[in-house]
Amino acid sequence: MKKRWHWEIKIPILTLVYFVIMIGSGMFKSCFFLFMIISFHEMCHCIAATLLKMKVEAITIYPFGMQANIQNLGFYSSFKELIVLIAGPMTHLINPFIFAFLLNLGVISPSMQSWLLNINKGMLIMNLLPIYPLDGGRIINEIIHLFFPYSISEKITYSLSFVNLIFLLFSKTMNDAAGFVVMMFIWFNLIKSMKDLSIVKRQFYRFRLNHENSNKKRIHSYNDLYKNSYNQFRDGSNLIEEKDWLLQQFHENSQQILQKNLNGML
Amino acid sequence: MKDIDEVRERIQERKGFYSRVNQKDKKLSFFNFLYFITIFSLIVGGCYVGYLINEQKHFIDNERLVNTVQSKINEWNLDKFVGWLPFEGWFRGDSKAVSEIISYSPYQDDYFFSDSNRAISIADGIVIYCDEQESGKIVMIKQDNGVIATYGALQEIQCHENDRILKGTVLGTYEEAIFLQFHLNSNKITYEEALALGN
Repeated sequence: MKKRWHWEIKIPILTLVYFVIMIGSGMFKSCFFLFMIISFHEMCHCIAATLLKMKVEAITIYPFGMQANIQNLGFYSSFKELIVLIAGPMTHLINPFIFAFLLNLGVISPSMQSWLLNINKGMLIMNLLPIYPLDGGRIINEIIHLFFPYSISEKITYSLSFVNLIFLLFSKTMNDAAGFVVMMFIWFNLIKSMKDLSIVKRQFYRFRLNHENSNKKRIHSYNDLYKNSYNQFRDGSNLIEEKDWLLQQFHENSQQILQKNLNGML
Repeated sequence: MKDIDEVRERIQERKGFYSRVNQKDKKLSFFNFLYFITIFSLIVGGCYVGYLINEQKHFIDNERLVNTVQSKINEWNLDKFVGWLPFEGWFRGDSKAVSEIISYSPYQDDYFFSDSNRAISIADGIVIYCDEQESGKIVMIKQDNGVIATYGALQEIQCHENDRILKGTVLGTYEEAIFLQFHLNSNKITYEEALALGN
């Protein structure tokens, strides 16, 4: 139980360089509060994940806050993952009360409170945008998983995210230097996710093989798994259980690898 | 995973005394915590003692160091990074021009007045100075466009130093007239010129 709350923390050199620049530009106070708001957001993701017995691999401290790497996120049931994903944006609904409390204590001024509320609003809207890998995109992804098999759900999510990102680009709502950088970051992340889909799918299959599945049964003939169901595959008049199907997938894969190696040797 | 944890616990219990020596029990965790606090206190205490010695012996001239660093920062134009702050300009909708929010009319010399008695910032910036003087309270803002705006003769201030101020933010209140002065690259500019630069 103690190891569950043991989170590894990483600080890239870019973060240290950024903080030096911010101190020099006189923006340290603003950046500090921005960092705290984003960190609170990510910490709530981590706490929700840890309470639901998911492992938080590492927390990376970037210039604009933290990023939590939760092991096997995307492989658990949609209900569990929705709790983890919603925990982050919920903090932005709590933040105005925290700002009011800090104002009463005299820690921040009314003008600072006004700025923080503006930032908080911007962050909440941005996080809830239906673009993967933002929280909004992941929430949409979990909802799509209720209706479609794994690969198809992921492809629908990525396609929707690309379309929404293009709309966002042309809407000019994030038309400053930082907005451009963030959009490029999201763009490359999306391309990387699409490229890694087949690898992630194998990892998902392995996860399902090694973990219990007490979901509702679903009988179908797709060559893929429904994430939120216990899958039974129709093979003519027979029904193949999920674990047997998964073992068959890995056996076929290992046969292919073996054949490749043999061909290479010959 | 629960079953595996239970099995591990049973194995540990069967190992007996040997396993208890290697286990992190509550006393050892408390010792680790004390050890960490001690080391942390030593580092902080050492830095503080070094600061006190420097105050007496002046090995490092703090003011000269700060001035050197500040001049280097100005040389590298690090204050231009203000535009890289995320979220503040996003999803704001159609931002109004300052003249729609407030309009200052000339009163006398550098004194202006408006419909309300609120001092409102005409552009985005950072508060670099807040103080009280004979004529009233004063706020100086370094705007993102490089203009240094001075809002004086204020009764009440609603901002602190180093606060991030956006266009249209209330800085304070005044009674009869507000003192407004704008400087760009050490040259004084008019209110209209500052407004044009802000928009």
